[in-house]
Amino acid sequence: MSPANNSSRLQNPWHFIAFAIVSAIVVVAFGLGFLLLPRYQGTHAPSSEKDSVYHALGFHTHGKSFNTIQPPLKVPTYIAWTEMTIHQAANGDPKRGEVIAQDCTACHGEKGLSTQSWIPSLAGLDPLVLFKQMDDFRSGTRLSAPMSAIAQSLTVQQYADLAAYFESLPGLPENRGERTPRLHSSYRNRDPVERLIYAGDPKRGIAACASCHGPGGYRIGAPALTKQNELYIDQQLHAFAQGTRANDMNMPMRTISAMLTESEMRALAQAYANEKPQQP
Amino acid sequence: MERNKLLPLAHLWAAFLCFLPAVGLGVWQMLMRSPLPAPIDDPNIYYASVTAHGSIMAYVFPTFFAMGFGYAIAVSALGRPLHGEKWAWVGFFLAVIGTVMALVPVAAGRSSVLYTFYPPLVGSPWYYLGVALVIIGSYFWIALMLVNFRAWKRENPGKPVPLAMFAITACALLWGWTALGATSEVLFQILPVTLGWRHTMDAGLARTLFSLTLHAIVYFWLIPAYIAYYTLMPQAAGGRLYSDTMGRITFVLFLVFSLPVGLHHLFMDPEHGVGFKFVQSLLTFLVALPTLLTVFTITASLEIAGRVRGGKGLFGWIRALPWDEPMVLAVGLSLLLLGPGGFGGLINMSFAMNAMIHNTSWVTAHFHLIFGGAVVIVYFAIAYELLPRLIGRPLVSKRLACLQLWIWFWGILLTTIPWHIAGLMGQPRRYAIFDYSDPLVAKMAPLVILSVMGGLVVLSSVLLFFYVLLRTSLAPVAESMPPIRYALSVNPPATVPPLLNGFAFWNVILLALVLIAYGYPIGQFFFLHNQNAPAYSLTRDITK
Amino acid sequence: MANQLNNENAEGLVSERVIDKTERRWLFVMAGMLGVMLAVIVLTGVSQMLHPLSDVETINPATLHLQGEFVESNLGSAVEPDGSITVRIIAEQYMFVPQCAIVPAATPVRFRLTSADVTHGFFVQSTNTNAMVVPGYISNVMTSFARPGNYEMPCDEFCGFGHHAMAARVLVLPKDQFKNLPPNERMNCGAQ
Repeated sequence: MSPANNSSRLQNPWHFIAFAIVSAIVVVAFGLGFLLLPRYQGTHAPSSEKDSVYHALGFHTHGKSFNTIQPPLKVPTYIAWTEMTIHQAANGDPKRGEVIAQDCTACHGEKGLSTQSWIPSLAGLDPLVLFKQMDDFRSGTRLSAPMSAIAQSLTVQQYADLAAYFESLPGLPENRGERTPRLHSSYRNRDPVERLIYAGDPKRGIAACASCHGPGGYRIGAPALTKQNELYIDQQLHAFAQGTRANDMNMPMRTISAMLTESEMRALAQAYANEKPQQP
Repeated sequence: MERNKLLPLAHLWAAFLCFLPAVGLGVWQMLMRSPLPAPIDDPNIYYASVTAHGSIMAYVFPTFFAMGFGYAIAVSALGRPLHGEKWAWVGFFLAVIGTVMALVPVAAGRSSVLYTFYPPLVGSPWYYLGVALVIIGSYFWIALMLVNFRAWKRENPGKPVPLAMFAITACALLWGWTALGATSEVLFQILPVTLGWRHTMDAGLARTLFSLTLHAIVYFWLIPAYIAYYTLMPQAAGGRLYSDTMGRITFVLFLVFSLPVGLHHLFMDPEHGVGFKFVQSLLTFLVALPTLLTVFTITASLEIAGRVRGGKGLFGWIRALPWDEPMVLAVGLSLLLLGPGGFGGLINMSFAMNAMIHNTSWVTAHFHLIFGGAVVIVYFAIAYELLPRLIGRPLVSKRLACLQLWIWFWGILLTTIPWHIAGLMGQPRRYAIFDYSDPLVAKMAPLVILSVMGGLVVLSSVLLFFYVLLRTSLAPVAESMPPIRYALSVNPPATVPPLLNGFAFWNVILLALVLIAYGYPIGQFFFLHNQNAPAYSLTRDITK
Repeated sequence: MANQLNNENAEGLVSERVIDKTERRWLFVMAGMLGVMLAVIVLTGVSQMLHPLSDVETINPATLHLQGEFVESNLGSAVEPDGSITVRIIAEQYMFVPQCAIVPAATPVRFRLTSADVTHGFFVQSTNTNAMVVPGYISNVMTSFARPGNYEMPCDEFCGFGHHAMAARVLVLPKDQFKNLPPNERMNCGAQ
């Protein structure tokens, strides 16, 4: 086969030419991208070749070039949605939870449905939500005299058990991102509250409430609001707006509530409290 | 031979039967984005619709089309029955099952992740399994293209493979390599989290793997149209292809340079440094080259045909061309759309200039212009050439077919030109609803309304297309239908250099380029720390 | 049928030598055009520092509120010793926090964003400040605003059902109106 190979290499230099052209392109590309562009940047002094390559690869070459002095730390909640936390919060024992929950009925009602409008119903609540709020009461990142005392008397595992129990009760709808198709869910809806719930308000940067709180939305840690008590929703919106409640991780509710008006908060609370739950 | 005809016919009908509802969804989407009232203006439905529209238009429609066209070429250009037809049917049914499997959860609102499905936002596992199944079905097609390509070469040693077969095999190879990116992302990253086996994943790695597919897939869509440019149009125009060699070089350039350029979709991403962003930007300039070469070669071929038909003077050949031939008209209109569409692409790939238009409506308008416009208009013409021959009945009316192509042309322009402008004005993409009471947004209202009108024109063109095909299908069978013929070149070569008659060498170059361009960008993720993000589902708590 | 013409009249109409010459000429013209475009990119990349974002920095998205650069108290505009501004914003479903950033005009501004959940994008309309915000990574974008004004900053990557209402603002004040805060204080015009 060798004679044929030799002659083909002589008569057919195209393999070599193609290879040479592609190699040249690669060399030029890397030369420009790694040695020229990052090295000479405007009026800055040219950096060394090594720095230039590092910068092109995305490394900091001079350490953080901005100062790292930070204001004093303020932690909104000690819960982080790590795999371990979620697993613990979502896998409590509802039977143990039922036993503990006997002490909750005085305020939160039989079967978790509260008859006092300023106390939330817990029946059907997402277990991750309940778990986090209990932990926040314990740590003091959410303030409520009775709840703090109660939370401190329970263990973290008991929070999970309570959460599992309340989840099993019929009441608040399960917050899944599904809903039957709705008419009038865009900015064309003339009712300002329905607009806020289903379409949001981009002029103020307010997302549709439903996109996290349902119906037809989901966000970890956001409770379903349909059929929740009206005064409770109103009070919590006010608390977020004033900053007296500040346990929302990464500040979504404080950001939004600060932009809502009084009448909007009242109207939203009323709309959600009276909302008919969707058929699953 | 009869069964060989059923195969491409089934694929073409599968392609267009999915295409029609997807166009309908597109029109509804544009209406919902506009200030005009739309039925069911629910944003959740909008995002489900965009997912369905995008998945069909990106993964289902062009795949079935390329597969069908490929089988038709393999039989007609090579002049022999298809090797492995049984396996072709297996691939077809896998793709059909995959399509249904993917679209059912989307229709139920459980997988509104959009066709780019950027994690850590994830949807129903059935969606991803369905898309994977469509891709797996297409791999049967890739294998059969290669098998038939090599079988012909073995039986015809030293002879040039017919250009149409050479090109569709290059297309199949290209798809085979590029689909690995998205498939790896789905298999190794997305399915584990959406099935609950793992809870976190690296979003940067996922986007990078997807970018391996995201650019080359558009050339997978484009090459069948270019095959019509090179091998069907000159024949239909009564002329010859200007240069067979240039045709082969074009398809080889696509094969080699389509893959190592995907990072230009990630210019604005934080997980890569400028070095590799620039390298892949430069390589993208190279993949623009085959299109530029094609424009010259095809225009020259049109001129050859025009002069043979008696056209005189500098532009007289244009008038002399048979514009009442659907294939000629489609290619002519496609070239007109390729100009602005390609120009938009040059802007998108120009490194820092991408920041001007990244994720604005300019991007959406661009790919609707170039894919919906320049490419799909030729798909229609290919259907007009193939379908009558596959069913043994002549096309019912060339006039209607040409009318349909004209309507499509104007519809696409009416839809996409205002859309481009809205993007330059800052309109972000993938928005279900816009608040037109905002004065800044209100300025774009007339543009979106124009696009709605364009969408309706486009829809009417598709309906006319179906009308023509259905009438043709119901016409009486012709005594004999002349077989499809592929254009010869002006100076048909007796032999062709081995580098332009096979792909072994180019596969090596391609792989080397992918390793060089993507090796570090992908490899770096395995050495970064702390970047894994929890997966988020839109519709159920999968984190438990 | 048109497809059946032998097109023999076209055979040999132009000699292969001429075809080769014209194709080669076109190839050089096109390659030259692409080369010019590339040169423009390289030259502006060097002279005006025009390039996409580059630094690859990772961060754990689940613990942003507990430690590190993106804790609540550190969000917003910070004044650097050299007078430039660093703006830290978190992108989450479905808002930016802080929802309103204040910066002075004609001053180097560095935006640092990260996501608390899924992939978002941020795009300051009427400017070229446009980047993805990917969870696990910090997007570091350097820019400067020539004109004072109120700029809308919508999210430009699909992040879920509330994507279309996710927007922030950048308020660019004239230089003399911008308060220069001590290094351990942060400024923003949104809720905090």
